[in-house]
Amino acid sequence: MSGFDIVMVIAVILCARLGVRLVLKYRKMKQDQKKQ
Amino acid sequence: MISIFRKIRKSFFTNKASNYLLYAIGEIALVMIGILLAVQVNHWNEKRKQDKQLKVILKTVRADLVTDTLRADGIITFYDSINKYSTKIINKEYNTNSIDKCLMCRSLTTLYQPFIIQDKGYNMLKNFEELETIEIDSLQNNILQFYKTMTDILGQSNEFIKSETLRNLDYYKNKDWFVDWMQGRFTDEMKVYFGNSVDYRNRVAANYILASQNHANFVRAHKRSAKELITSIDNRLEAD
Repeated sequence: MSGFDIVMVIAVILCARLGVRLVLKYRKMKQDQKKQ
Repeated sequence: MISIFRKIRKSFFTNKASNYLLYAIGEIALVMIGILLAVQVNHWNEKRKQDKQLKVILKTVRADLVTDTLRADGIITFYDSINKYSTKIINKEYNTNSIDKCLMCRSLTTLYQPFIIQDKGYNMLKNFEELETIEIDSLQNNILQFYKTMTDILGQSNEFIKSETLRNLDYYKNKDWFVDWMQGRFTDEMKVYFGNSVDYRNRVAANYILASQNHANFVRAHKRSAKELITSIDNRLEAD
């Protein structure tokens, strides 16, 4: 596996993690709004 | 530091969309920092690998140059040894009666030593330059220029002396004494030709200019430059 591939894997993992966190945070925000 | 980030993130746990946007920007910024770090680490790693590869190439070039220098020594000694006989023939120090005392004198125009330089390291360096886009430093540049120049000059010089030697051999082939000459005998005709003829003196003089002067001088120049390059490579390898 070349260096560029490793960077790509890291980038994909970080982007996926970012997506998950943003969606979870959005859901949490919506639930809080409903409770209020 | 971590607690500061935690406080900031907690402050975003409000229900406002703007806070969510700020949080999202923060997360995106962190991901970008992560990717940039990965790219930087990858760059360092690539550079380390390139340096390692360059070191191997420099060692190969050095070994080639050492081999060339040893070969050059042999060629210079060879031409120095036949130079004295050539000078004697040109200065008419031998005649029909005394030429048989000089066994070397009759082979002066049919002997040559080509100088074929080792170019394994040079080819590796050329391929390395083509593959990698790193900057070429002065040492690499010097090596490439040295080989480019020397390959051309020595190639041409080798061709010149080879064609001259073969021409001389072709000329002798038509002589009656050719077989005697080849077998190391000295006939009267040969004594006249080698000891007294203008044609042989001219051939020796031409060979002296082409081989003993030009070719040997190119080999000397190569040896001088090769030694300088070996010192530069040694300094570089010690510094790394």
